[in-house]
Amino acid sequence: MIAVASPAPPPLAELLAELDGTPASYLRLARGIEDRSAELGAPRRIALLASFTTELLAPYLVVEAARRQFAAAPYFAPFGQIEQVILDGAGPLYAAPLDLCVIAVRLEDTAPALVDGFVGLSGDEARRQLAEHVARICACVRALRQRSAARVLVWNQPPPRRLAAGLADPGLALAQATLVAECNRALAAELAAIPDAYVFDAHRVATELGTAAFYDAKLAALARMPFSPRAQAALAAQLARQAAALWRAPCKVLVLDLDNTLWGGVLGEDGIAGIALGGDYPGSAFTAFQRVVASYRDRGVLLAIASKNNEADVTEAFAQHTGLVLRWDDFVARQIHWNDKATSLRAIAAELNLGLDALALFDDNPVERAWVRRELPEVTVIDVPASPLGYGDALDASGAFDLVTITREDRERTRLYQSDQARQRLADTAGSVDDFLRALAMRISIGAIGADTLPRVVQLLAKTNQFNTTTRRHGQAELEAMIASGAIALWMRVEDRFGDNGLVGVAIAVPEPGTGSNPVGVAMQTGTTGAAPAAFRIDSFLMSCRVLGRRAEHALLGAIARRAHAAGARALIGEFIPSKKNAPAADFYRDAGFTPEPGTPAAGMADVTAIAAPARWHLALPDRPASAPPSDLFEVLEVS
Amino acid sequence: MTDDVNARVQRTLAKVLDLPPGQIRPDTHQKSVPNWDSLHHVHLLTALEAEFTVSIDPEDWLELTSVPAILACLARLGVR
Repeated sequence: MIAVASPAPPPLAELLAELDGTPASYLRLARGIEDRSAELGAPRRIALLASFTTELLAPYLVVEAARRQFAAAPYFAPFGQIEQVILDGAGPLYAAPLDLCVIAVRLEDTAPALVDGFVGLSGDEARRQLAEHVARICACVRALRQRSAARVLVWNQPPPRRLAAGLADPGLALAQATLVAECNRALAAELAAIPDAYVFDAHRVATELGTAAFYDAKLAALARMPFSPRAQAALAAQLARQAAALWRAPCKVLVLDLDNTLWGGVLGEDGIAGIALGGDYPGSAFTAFQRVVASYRDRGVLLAIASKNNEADVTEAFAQHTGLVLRWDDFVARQIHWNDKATSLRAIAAELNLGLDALALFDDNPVERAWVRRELPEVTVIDVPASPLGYGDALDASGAFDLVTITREDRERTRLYQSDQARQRLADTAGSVDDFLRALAMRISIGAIGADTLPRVVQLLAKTNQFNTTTRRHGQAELEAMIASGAIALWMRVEDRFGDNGLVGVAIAVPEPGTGSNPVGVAMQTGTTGAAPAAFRIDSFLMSCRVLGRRAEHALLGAIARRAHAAGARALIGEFIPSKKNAPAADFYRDAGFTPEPGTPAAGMADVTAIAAPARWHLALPDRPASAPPSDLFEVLEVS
Repeated sequence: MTDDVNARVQRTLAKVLDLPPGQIRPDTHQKSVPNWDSLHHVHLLTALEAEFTVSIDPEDWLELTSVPAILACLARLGVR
């Protein structure tokens, strides 16, 4: 046999650079990027269930997914058959594991009276039909939720193409535009109660494009596709972006340059009075960008400075310039000196105890951006346009900080890190680690994961990389199913004298199949049938890097051990699955007194890159009930 | 200039229907192109509308099943 070498396909980035936004280029590219699992990973199966034809979206979706670094394998259900497809448990929707289900139902297709017939309806009748529409969609989502753990995105209503009452609409007791807003609010409220179901903001996509460019009467009439090719590309781009945000950890730190980024001009040359900030253009453009950055701070993004400047000049500018929106204290790390930016970024990551992949750089200087891209490929380098008028849009378009939900911890993150810095000062003055931990006066609370804690727990599962024994990214529905089948699932909060660190730890232990009934016959308390398991396997154990090195993990492990014991188990199994980043958790089970099971490397595992196979650890639980391990380092309270 | 329109039509067909450019001839017809199904017909027409910045009449949509028909339609729309 003679092997014929086929030419290597061009790199993905090269193909994507050819995209010019025309339908022809999307179609050509969609073919060129088939079978790219080497670059994009296994394809994500995405189902589209809609009241209109969606097949035309295929090339747009495949290409936009590749631009967000994942491979999409779309499945298009026949239009208008949403309930039928969801309820057919043996049907094509469930033929292979589903990663994402997109549900798109237009009022025009299912409740036309609410659109062109709107003027003939009383307000009460319109609201009744609207409630029916929302109830129908949410019933579909719940039915899907019972059959699949897929994430779900539900389209809200875009603004209608025309207003039935025309010019008179704003004056109506119930305006059509208000009805659409009420519909979207009701949908969001009801979806919030369903695990892993989110709104897809089609309304926003249509608003950004404009309704005249969004709708396409000819495609609607000829192909049952209501949206223009441009709108199809925009909808696919937004779907891909939101899908990526569902299964990828966002960046955590926005690292900003100063000169010509946060203000115009060069501080060291122009002086405080000479930089452009506030007042008229161009100062107004930099103020506007600072307001955008402040909104990122408010939703939980940490801010840092990496600037080539004299630090004294910068502190003086922050103290004196009245045009600044961002304050000195808004930055949790500051690298202001004349060393290169890669060095600054490394220092920021080290100071905040984060990986380099948690950083995104925003710097107006293309030379600096190219340098960081080359030196630190893990760092997200945001493309910055020449004009400061485009800075805010560039930051938004990057998607570097995309989160599908915002939790209480997100809103309070900057304050949390500021108290971290106070902790660091205490650590610098304490004599030993134990002295420091005692001086922190930690109060640890631990409880069972429930509806109130699920969103934050799922967020931690999705984004914790370092102290994470298995890096299993369970979604909300999967986690609920594990709890329903007897898993012990705990959260941990850590407070100390500098403040509340929030919910920072998660541990999930599942009954280990095949370990038979326990030898002492203690009844399971978890509500499942059958004999109690002899062992629990710790499926996931993770902790935010914010509380690394505080021994809090031993409090959480102790709680798992006590509850496993109470459920009748006499052994715990710990797993460690090495990843590129989880070296900090490699020795956790050894430190906690577990012994390696046969086949587990006995040597220290600090160099996890050298370990190919996952490791399993074993800990026998004594017959007598375990009690909380005494510790003078923290106080532990089990609340539920 | 007509040659240029001809070349652009052939390029658009090649991209949308996944054909090597040389395989599309001045007389290529839908019947001889397996990929040219109803779904790709919609993609092809939207691609032609974007390429030449024209709006093709809905009455013409189903008739444009060959390179000569497409060229004639574009000529009627004033594409030179």
